[in-house]
Amino acid sequence: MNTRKYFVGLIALALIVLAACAPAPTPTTIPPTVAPMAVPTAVPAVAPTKAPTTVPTVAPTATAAPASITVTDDANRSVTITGAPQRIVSLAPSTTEIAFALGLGKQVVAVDSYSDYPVETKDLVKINTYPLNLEQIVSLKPDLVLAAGIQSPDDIKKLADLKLTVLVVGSVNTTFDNVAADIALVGKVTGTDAKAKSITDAMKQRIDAVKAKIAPSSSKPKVYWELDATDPAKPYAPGPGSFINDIITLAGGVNVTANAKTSYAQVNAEEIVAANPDLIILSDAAYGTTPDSVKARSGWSAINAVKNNKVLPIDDNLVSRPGPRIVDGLEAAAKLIHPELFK
Amino acid sequence: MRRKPFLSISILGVLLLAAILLATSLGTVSIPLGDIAGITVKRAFGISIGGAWSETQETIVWQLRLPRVLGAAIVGAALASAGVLFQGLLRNPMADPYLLGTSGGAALTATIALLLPVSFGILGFTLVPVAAFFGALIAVLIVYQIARVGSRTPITTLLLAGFATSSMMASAMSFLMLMNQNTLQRVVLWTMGGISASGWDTLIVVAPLIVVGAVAAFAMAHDLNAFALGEEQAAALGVAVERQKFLTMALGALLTGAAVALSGLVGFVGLIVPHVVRLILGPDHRLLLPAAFLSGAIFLVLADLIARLILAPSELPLGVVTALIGAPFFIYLLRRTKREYTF
Repeated sequence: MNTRKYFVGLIALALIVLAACAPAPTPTTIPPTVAPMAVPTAVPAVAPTKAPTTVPTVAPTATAAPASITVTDDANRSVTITGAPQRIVSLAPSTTEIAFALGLGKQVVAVDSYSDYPVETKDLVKINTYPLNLEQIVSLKPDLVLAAGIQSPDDIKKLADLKLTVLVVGSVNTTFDNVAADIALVGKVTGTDAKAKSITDAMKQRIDAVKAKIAPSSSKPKVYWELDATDPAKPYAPGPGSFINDIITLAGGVNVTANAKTSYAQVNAEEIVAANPDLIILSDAAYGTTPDSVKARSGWSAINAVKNNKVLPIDDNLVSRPGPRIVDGLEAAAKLIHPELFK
Repeated sequence: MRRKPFLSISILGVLLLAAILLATSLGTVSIPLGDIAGITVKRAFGISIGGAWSETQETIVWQLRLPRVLGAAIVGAALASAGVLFQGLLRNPMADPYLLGTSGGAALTATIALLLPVSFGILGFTLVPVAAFFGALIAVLIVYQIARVGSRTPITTLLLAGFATSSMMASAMSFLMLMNQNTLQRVVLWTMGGISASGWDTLIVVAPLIVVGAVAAFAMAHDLNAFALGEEQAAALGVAVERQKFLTMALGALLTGAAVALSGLVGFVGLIVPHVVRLILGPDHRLLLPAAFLSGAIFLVLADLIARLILAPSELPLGVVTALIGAPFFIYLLRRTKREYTF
């Protein structure tokens, strides 16, 4: 049929045109927009925020910013930074808190939507991280992007492809040593090494102080730490290898879910009742779980902790963000587990 | 309602161009149309036609937005064409590209890829899109083998085999997700669909694949028309029925697999766009196939634009927008035709 021939002809023409036109555009690179930087002679001091336990401010020593520094970040990437970053974008609450603790508050131009500490973050531009809004980040022209270990490798790759300097801070596993190393890493890259060292030294001192107070005590209360009770019959608790497991042990307690199968374990409520913890710590207090709602769960009234009214909330942000405040978290946990030692 | 076919196709082509320009111009950062033309000409052909725009705008348009918008167009075109093919093959108005196991297979392999701690990079593709593509194809192959009886594949058996295989794979995927809670969010986001701004690398590989597949589908229009009369009638008219079924399935799976590799599971386009085009332009596949190709592209470009704008700087998953926008429009069209909608 005539129409058929016409169509075949059209298709052939289309194929020829396709083959001929549009040579594959090679993604050319744009030189990174790095604002010309004057070498700062002093690290700006940041006044301590209103948190009860703060990192002591040390008079900032005049550090000349490094000319060019290459480090290996926590995703095993080699990162080179020239001069001290003046426009920092932080993509996680942990990196935000590290940056501010190092006195870089003035250089932080945007944070992710979950960052809420310190209070200075309230007025900063908030970036959407799930999914990652690349246009927003590019339009802010950052010279350093701080990403946490939980950011997916695909996102990191996309940021790197856009010629942005990305530093991955923190792995998926948090430990006290990791966090100290992370603070040192950010300090090295931003020329705030001295401040970083003073922070990590202070953190070590406080951890040792907690250990010293706990050591003479012989009682080790059984602790059930609840992470998520969306389904109260199958709540989530910290298992072996998790950071909170470490905190409970350091704070002088025994984690009743230490023998679970994964580090973020979903346990059966029956196991908790059988384990009969002396103390229940609620990390999910921020999500609406109250001590009363726990006490009201059927079968839980048999637990020691419920009988003795030792169901206590804790600020989850202090233990879930791998930054300087994990020491605050440790101290808060220790106060809950051994109130008699921390009057 | 019969329209002159070439007029309709031309109108659709112009609408597509307009949609692409609009979508590239609007977003978290608004960029004037003239600059877009200038940037495109400069980056694609190396010709500078003057005009002032910042490097940031150039990065955003060329590396982030244009690939994303064109990606949305090609995915929409692929899914709509695959929808026409599957509806023609199965002679069922509820048929969509995901019916014969493609979605289950793609989702399962994508989940496996997300869980593997493997660093994979070929031609700019990470493991997930490649896995999704092959998962879709393998699933369809399995379904075809299950449904084959001797040398024939009865349509009902195909449908049921597709449903069973899809369910089985979806359950396997849910199981994997439960066992690996920390990747849960990434998997869920992937299944909700979204054009990730992966730059030109992936687009350059997938787009020609889709275009070739679609053009091959256009050539089958005649046979699909005959098919609509029933298998016996089609055989009487000289169509090689079994071979036609296999070819249609294979092409449909190829188009769907390629689309899923670029965008995850975007629902609704493959189901509704063919019906909308049929309501306006009639069921003749010779016009329906190219018209659906272009209409699918227009629809998804606009849906992606809305997904980006409506909650800026946050983003809605694409699959959510396609259903929310598409369904009311389709219902309106259904009500508007005075006569009953015969498929």
